[in-house]
Amino acid sequence: MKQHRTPRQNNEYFRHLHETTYDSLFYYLYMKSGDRQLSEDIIQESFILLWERIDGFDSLAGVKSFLYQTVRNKLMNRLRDERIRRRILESRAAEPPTPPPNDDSDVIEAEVVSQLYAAISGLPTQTERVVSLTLSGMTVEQVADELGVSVNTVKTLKKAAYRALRTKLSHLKSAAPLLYLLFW
Amino acid sequence: MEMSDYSVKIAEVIIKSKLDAESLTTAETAELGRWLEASSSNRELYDRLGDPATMAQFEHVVSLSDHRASWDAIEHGLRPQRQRRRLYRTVAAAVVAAVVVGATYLYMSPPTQTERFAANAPIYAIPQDGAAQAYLVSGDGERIALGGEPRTIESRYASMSVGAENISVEALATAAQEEHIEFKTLVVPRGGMFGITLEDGTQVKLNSGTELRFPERFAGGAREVWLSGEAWFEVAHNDRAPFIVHSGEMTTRVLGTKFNVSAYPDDQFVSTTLAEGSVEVAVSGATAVNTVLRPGMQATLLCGTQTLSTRAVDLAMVLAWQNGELLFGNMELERILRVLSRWYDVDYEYSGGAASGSHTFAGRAARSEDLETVLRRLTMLGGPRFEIVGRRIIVH
Repeated sequence: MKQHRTPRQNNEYFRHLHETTYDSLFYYLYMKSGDRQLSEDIIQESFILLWERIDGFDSLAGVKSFLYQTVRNKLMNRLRDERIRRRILESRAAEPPTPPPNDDSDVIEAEVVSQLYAAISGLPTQTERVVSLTLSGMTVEQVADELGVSVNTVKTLKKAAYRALRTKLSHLKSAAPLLYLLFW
Repeated sequence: MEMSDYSVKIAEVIIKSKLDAESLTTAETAELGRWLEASSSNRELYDRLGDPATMAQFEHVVSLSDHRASWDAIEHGLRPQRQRRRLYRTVAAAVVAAVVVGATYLYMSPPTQTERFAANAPIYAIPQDGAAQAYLVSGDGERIALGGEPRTIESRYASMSVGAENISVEALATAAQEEHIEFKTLVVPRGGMFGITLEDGTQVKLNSGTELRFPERFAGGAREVWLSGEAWFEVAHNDRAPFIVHSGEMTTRVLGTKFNVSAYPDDQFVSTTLAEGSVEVAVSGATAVNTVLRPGMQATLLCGTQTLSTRAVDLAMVLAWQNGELLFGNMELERILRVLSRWYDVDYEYSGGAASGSHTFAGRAARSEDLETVLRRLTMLGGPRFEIVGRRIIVH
């Protein structure tokens, strides 16, 4: 089901999308290229493409998938051009094509790490410590022991952290009706 | 379903499992289980996600870029489009805005490490301006540059076909009657890489900064060569004539097999790693000190100790250099720098405050990348800051 938004809603939605996905896309590109400028350029171009078809998406997951695909293709093209340029420079025989990197795991890493990071930052101190310790591999019992609180408290704080993350993102998931009320 | 659709979806499940595993639905638990079991690398990735090192890396990387500057550039680009929905105008305006904003940003920001690097021409591993990949040196000191157009070098006893990346030795039929055996040395300078097929069909691939001394034809009971540096051997099987590699303090003896020998004078060790078959490794001049390796095992001799130690290794890491890659798992900075100095034909030094330290790194580098890119990644992985001055790396 397509969403129908007014231009102004679209603009707001679009800005939120950019803010929410920027770090994960930059991390994904920078880890592959090691090039800040290149990564920033690709993100800008990709968002301009996204703007043209923003009405065609009906879920945040769909938008993210589109963005990852777009930045990946753009990066591959740049790297290919770079290889060709280098090859002409050296007038060497064709190098074997670079196998496509394992995007599956790179996308997953960028997605998970960026969201975990977002989930932790902005949490109350106690909750943040619980989540950090949990993510470093401690069990609920070990965390409770470390912080001197009960196991139930740890569980409650973890749930609160996850809920907070959901809330941060929910307005993007089913954006149209909510944004309509807020911004029109 | 596109792969990235699946990735985004499974990422959601992973986040849920990390933060609030109890709220996973049965379907999500099953989905996660399938993904974890699909490969061991998925399991490793899962364990790494959210650990302090990965989070710190993420924090560092995203601190390099400001999403607000990016948004401003995009918004500038989109503004005219909101009045007239015309695709190309929008894109053109956006591109111009992006360029202007990008240029302004670059102009106004203080010089960063990246820009300081950029003042140097990129340094690539493959020799530039037609520099030879290798030299063939005769016993009388004659030095022939190899590489470039295919050709044939004739000597009294052998004919050698030279290609861009390989030389192949063929003994002449008349040579078998001769007593005299002529030795040659294949020299691969820093930055190069070259292969040789010896007269018996044994293939050897030489890494940067390596020398191999070999006879034009093998005679007598053993096939012997002398190595300094690193090489991969695929030895042609011959029951009657063992193949022997002399590499400094270590001697490796085989009948027919595939193995790697690393014996750089500036490393304080010599090692042999076996991929296939079986080899016997001994301390030179003390053959009683020896060990027989099984595939996947590495024998190492610390120089001066006359003691061999063996251990199981990750073959992919040891052999990666042949594909132009350096894979390092817990490798010390000093060792990584030694490899880079050979690949890129550069030297390195530590500035006043820097200590070589025992900090180890895990990651990869490829020969096809320029030196700056590789060093920048090392910095990003938590390493020190590097500066390239001419052909020297300065570690800060």
